[in-house]
Amino acid sequence: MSESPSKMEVLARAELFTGVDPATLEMIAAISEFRHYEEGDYVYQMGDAADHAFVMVSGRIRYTLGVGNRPGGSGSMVTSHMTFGWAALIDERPRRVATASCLEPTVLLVIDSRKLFTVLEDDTVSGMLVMRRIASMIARNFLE
Amino acid sequence: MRIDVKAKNGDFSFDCEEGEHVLYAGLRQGIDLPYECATGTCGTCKARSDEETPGDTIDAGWTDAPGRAYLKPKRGEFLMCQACVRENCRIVVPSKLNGGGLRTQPAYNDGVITGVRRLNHDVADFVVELEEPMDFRAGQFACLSTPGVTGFRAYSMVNYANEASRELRFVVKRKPGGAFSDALFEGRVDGAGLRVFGPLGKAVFDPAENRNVLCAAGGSGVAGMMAILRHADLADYYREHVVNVFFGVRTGQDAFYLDELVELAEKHGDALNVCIALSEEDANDELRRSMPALTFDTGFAHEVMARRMKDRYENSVAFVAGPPPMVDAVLRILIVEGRLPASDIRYDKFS
Repeated sequence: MSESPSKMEVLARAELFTGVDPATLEMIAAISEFRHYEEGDYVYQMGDAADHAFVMVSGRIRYTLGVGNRPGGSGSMVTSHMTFGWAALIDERPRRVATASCLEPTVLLVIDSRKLFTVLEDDTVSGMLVMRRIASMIARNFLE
Repeated sequence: MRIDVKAKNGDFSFDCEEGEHVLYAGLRQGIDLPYECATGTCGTCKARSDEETPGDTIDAGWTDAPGRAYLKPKRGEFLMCQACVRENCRIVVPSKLNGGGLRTQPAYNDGVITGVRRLNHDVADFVVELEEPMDFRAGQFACLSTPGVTGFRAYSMVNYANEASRELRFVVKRKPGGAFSDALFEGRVDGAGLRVFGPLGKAVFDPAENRNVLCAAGGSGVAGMMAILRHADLADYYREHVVNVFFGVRTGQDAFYLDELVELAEKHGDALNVCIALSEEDANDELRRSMPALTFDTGFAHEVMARRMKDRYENSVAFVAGPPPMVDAVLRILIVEGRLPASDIRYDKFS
């Protein structure tokens, strides 16, 4: 990847958005923004409101799923092109059930979940693709 | 029956015959209702009944349509390509519409199947001779109600003519247990009549765009590409533009239309580069020797395209057709490496 990928490039590389119509992808890019984090920053912590999903652009994040109201285990690594923050992509808008913290300077593409739902409502095919992958992502989190 | 449509940008209305699908009724009267596959698969043509429309007014049609997975039945949603109405009604379409007519307005037509040819072990093509000529654009498709199959199925036109044509050629890949493809391969459909609705589809080639063309096709997805190449030929497009074609198949035995591609490639030299991507074998010397006008490479179509198109996407418009995983992979490359905007990537969502 080039040093400064466009939002479209980041989205097109993310597994969550594979197969999404390019026109829809452009709309998702339009409602997304790059956000920079320093080492030690929290992207979110358990119990925070879940309003955004994230695509990893560069850096490294420790992702620790909670058990009850406590962090569970040592967590897993989030690396480039991975998507996390799926709690924001559930209709009921639950709170965060995991903590995401930066292990080094990190750049994320941040997607407003409400706006994402609106975009996907207008493209049912892409919407269904994304929702299926979210279901898989959630299942993976709890099965692994 | 009269159907009143409430869209995001206003109200529209059109007539619908008894038993006619709502989508087809609207399109043939120039209302650009949303659709992609027009045959119940993609879910793009979803609409819902108005609150004042009684529940039994709309017959949702094919109960197992894959596109129904995208609906919320409790909200009265249905697929316009499958639904019929029983009386005057009002529906809501969640899109902006244009009621001013379509560039190629679809219509019903009757036809007869002729000229069935087996192109290889599992691909055949056939001609439909229409009662009335159809004016269509390269890259478009038509819905056929084929013998032995309930409802319409979509097939891309392989041929192209500069004027309305009575002949449409289509490609079919044999499917295990497929009623129509079995009948076609067993020679049981020559002379059979069928109903045609078309032309449909927005992934079309327009010589006036004045761009280089990139075609990436897998298997029978090459059908629409053949029409585009033929249109470019008739429009003398290769004089000023370069056309790159990547045709993905598993082995040399699975390829077809190679003679037609050779003919075009020999005629247009460096302006038409046709590469056959073989995903499960290397091209043998005999194949290379017998068709020097074509290039053969090893790998999936998207991999070969990425290697050979590196840094050469500028001023290109891309057409993509094939199995969904291949289409997904090509789209990613066109966006990430080709940096093409969505408006320069054209494909129809058949599945």
